[in-house]
Amino acid sequence: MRIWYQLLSSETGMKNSIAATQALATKAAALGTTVEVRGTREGALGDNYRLFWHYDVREVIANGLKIRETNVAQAGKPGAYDAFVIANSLEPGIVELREMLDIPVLSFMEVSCFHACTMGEKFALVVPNKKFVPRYREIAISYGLRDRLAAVDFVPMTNIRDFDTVFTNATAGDQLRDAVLTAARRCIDQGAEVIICPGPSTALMASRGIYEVDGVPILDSYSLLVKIAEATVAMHKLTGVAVSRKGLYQSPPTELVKKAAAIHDIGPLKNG
Amino acid sequence: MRIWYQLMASEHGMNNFVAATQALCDKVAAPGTTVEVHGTREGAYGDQYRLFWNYNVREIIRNGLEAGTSGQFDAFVVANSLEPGMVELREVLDIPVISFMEACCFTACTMGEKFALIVPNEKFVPRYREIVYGYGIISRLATIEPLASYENTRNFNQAFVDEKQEAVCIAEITATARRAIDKGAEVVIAIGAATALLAKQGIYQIDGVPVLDSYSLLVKIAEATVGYRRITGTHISRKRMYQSPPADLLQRAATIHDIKPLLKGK
Repeated sequence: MRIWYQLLSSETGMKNSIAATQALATKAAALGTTVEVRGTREGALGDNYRLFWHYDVREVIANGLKIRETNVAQAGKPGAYDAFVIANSLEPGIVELREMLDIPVLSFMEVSCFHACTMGEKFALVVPNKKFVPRYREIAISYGLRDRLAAVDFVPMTNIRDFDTVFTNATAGDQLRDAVLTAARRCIDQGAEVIICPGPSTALMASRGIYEVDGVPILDSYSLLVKIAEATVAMHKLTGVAVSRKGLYQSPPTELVKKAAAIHDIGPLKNG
Repeated sequence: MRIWYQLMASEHGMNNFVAATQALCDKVAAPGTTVEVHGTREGAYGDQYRLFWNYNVREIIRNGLEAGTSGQFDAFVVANSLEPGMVELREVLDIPVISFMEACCFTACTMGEKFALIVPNEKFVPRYREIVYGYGIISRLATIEPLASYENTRNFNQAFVDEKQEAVCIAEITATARRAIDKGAEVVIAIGAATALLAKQGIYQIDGVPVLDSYSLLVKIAEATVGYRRITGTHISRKRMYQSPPADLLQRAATIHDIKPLLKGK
């Protein structure tokens, strides 16, 4: 099984964060599963601002479409990908790629939020900074989980790239760990039974083997994503079904794909 | 990995269904995973009536306590869609307790905007709606459609060995799924024996709409959950909803109610 595991982080600016995530994913993977953790060229630079995030989304979509193209070329041969994991919690390109890809497209937030709902009545999110709070609340509510969301709290990482040093500088790592635990405790006071830490915080906590605070689970979301991706791929192989093509994830007709590809110069879609 | 997989169905009254479910589980289980499908003594007999259902729940709780405290199993799967004993068992067991409905409903939400349930008969409709409400995702539910011919859910059993009966049953499930699709369903979850019957025939879509192979999905989710637990040591929150009773209360209650698997030193 081969899984493309897409972070938003810059491969140059956040290489330590990416390496830590790769280590977690590799450790979680079953025998025979290869997880390829990828970042972006310049992603996660001020992506708490929607405009900058928008540019990152373009790259994630481009990567997803390249995977689609690879899979068409490799059909029936080794080298094809079995799943595209959107390991960034802001779900960049999730609907766009589910519409177009014939392999499962997994979402960090769907997997984490729905799994949290099986572990307790209420969950909370500890997000990278205050600006992000409304966006993450919006995502959980869009799933229908308003009543299961206890709180959205934050740590003071205004520049997401500052996360990178926490993996190499022990003091910075300790400070972030403490900030996550403090925010998590505020969430617990508001009724949270499970904590989800979108972004590199989850990698830091898991890398340090911290899976609970005051008896409340802190999800190791990156490892969980690998296990759920494996399960989803197995179901796809068994049933041939990855997603519903009725309604939300309906694919565009081939002729429209070709026309749109020509208009927007979308190379991987030029043949429909 | 060893999984106790608990159906509500009677092991003698619905033996064909239980056998078909075991075959589905064996097919999907990863190498090294053993799934042991169990029914009950007299379950799924009029269980749309809450009183009769309550007697089935007792047996499942007993099985769960015995299996879950034996040290022999990595997960207890509540493979019945009415979630018998789910909270009770999650409170006291230290292995993952997986729920049919949680696994199906949450997975369906990743496959489309709206899902539907096909339930065995009309009496069941409010109960299943209640479960989805409980998850908080009622806005994702397109409809709940009942089958017409299964007032007694045991009537499904013959369909697993009689081709004519099977064809009749599948035709009814298909027609019911189409009603659900007309009402906006993008994913269909067929409850109970209906899901096993469709999967046995390799029917995973109706008119292009996915019909979950729920029993296979449950195995994969159980494997994922056990795998995750092995990494993190966590599988449940003990804060509030699934908080375990204190040890002394557990022992007193176990003594009063004669709950042998919970008695210390057992």
